[in-house]
Amino acid sequence: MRTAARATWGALVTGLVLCTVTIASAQGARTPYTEVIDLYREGLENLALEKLAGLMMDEIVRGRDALFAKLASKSPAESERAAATIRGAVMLHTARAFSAFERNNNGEFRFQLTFAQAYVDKLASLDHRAAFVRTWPLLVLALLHEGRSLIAAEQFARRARNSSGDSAELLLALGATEEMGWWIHHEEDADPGVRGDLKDAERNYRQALIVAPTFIEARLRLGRVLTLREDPEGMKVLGQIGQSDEAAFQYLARLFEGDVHEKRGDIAEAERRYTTAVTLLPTAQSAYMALAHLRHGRGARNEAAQDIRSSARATDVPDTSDPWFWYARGTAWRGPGYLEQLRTMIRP
Amino acid sequence: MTRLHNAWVVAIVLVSATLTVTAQRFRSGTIGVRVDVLVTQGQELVRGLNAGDFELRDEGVLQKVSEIEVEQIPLNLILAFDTSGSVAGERMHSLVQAGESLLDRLRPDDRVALLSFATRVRLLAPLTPSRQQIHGAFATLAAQGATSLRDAAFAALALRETDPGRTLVLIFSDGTDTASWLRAPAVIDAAKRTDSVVYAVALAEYRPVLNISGGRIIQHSTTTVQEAGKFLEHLTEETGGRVMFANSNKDLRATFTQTLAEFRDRYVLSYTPTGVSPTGWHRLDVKLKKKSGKVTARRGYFAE
Repeated sequence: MRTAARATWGALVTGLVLCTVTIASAQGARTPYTEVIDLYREGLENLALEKLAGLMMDEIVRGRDALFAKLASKSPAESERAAATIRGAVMLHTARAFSAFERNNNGEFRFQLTFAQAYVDKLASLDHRAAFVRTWPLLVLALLHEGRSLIAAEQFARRARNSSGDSAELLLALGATEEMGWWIHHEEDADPGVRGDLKDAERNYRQALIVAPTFIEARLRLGRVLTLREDPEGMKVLGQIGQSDEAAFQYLARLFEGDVHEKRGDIAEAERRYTTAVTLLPTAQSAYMALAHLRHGRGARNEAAQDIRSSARATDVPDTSDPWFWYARGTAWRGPGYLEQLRTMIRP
Repeated sequence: MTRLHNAWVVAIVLVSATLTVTAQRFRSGTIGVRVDVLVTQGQELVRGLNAGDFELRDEGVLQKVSEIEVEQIPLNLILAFDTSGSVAGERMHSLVQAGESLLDRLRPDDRVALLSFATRVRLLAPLTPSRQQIHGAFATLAAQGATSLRDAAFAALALRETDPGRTLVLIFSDGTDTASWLRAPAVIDAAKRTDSVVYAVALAEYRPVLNISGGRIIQHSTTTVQEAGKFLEHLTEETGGRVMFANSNKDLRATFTQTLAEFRDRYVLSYTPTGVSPTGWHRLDVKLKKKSGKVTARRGYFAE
């Protein structure tokens, strides 16, 4: 479970083309702590994490206090330089937090994330680089979704909403946290620590669509939770996702529609929807499984076995090519995009 | 959403081969019904019984049963191995060794298939009498990704063929499902529609877990089968199989061979249903008439 989170964070740690730009030291007095932050901003992320681990807590706290003092400077240039360093510090401590998450070190994870959050709160109070303040919580939620760590996601989301305000993407992440909790609790025979509330998910998705009416992922998720609640509006919403939308969204919409028809006992229509999904993305496995199960249930064992073989014998298909895999992980698939945006905001 | 299509992990090249599978129908009527039965007393298998020792009721109606010699029926062994990230390292090595040990114990007419499941279910080898093909498939196993346990269990059941062989689905998993599309009831329903017997091998490694409850730290132990939830228990019970426990990675080999030995020591009863509906779900009750012992058999079957 944690391996998935490692994949995304690994991209952050190792994915950069390391530049050897010497950081301008015109940022005033540097402390061992700010030197580590600068290493991180330069792209020397592993080295920065290593050096951060070697710092004493009082060095970090002194460095942080110095940064806060500079941030409050009357000199706009000095204040902005401090803000840039703080943005780097946020990413550094976030990386440290998820490194601890990987090692199941929950205490360290929470401590580092809280440290990063305190920086973000300070930036938010001054409205510095609002894009950073609004994007960072989305990255954290995406990573928590990827690790299926829903208790942490729920707690974090509550605080993020207070400090960063609502955006369509944050509302989507809030809804996805509820939806994931509900799904894992009800359908995966596991205890995610939160029960998840489909009504809350629905409300968040609807609000996201008010903010961004063309937000197709929010529409898809709204349709899905409505169908899970057996609300007839769900099929109408899913039906709005059509040929002009990306294949992955169409695939999921048809898969979810098939699921509704199957539950209703309309096997022929369910089979049509699943078949459409298979045609849209032949390398994805979920629709093949749905189709095979449907056919197996109506006695078409040859066809069911053939569906399994068609899907399970496919060579050179990436493990994660199925939209369902990502859908079931909330906003995890958005993580790399957020990461890239945040990287551009911390570079010296 | 384009990223959904992109590979975040390296694709695994599968060994594939042609497979001809025909539908298996678990019918009542002219071909009769076959029921795999396990009899135990405590931890011991009860051997030496014959058809006359059993009382079998189909929908409460007593049936006249006969016994089929197990040795006369070829075995279809469908292996479904969890290859998610948690299996990497020594566990994978032990798993492959355990699988190899099964091949040594098969008879010439027996066939084997190998499915792996992680984020995706992969058919590495279709049902084949070729041990070499299975050895080659074992060599391709690599541990990475999530766990699509339910999808894999269904795939294994769906690959059962219409041949007269007995089918043993052997599932190894060390964790909970994190990737399947199919829900547990759907897979259990599919299990009711085949005559495959499902055994699951789970690791029973105890490890300390710290929980903070009411301000107190409570330490207790958990096993991997608890993580796998109730699904494997339900699935195996429904098909007349059971969950076997390995105490460690090294114990996997012995547990696998014990599973195969137990399957071979089961009784196969057959009967032509009389006095019952030709279609629908049929509840089965199998008991011993006089002798003592616990009888484990599938809970019923769908007549189609």
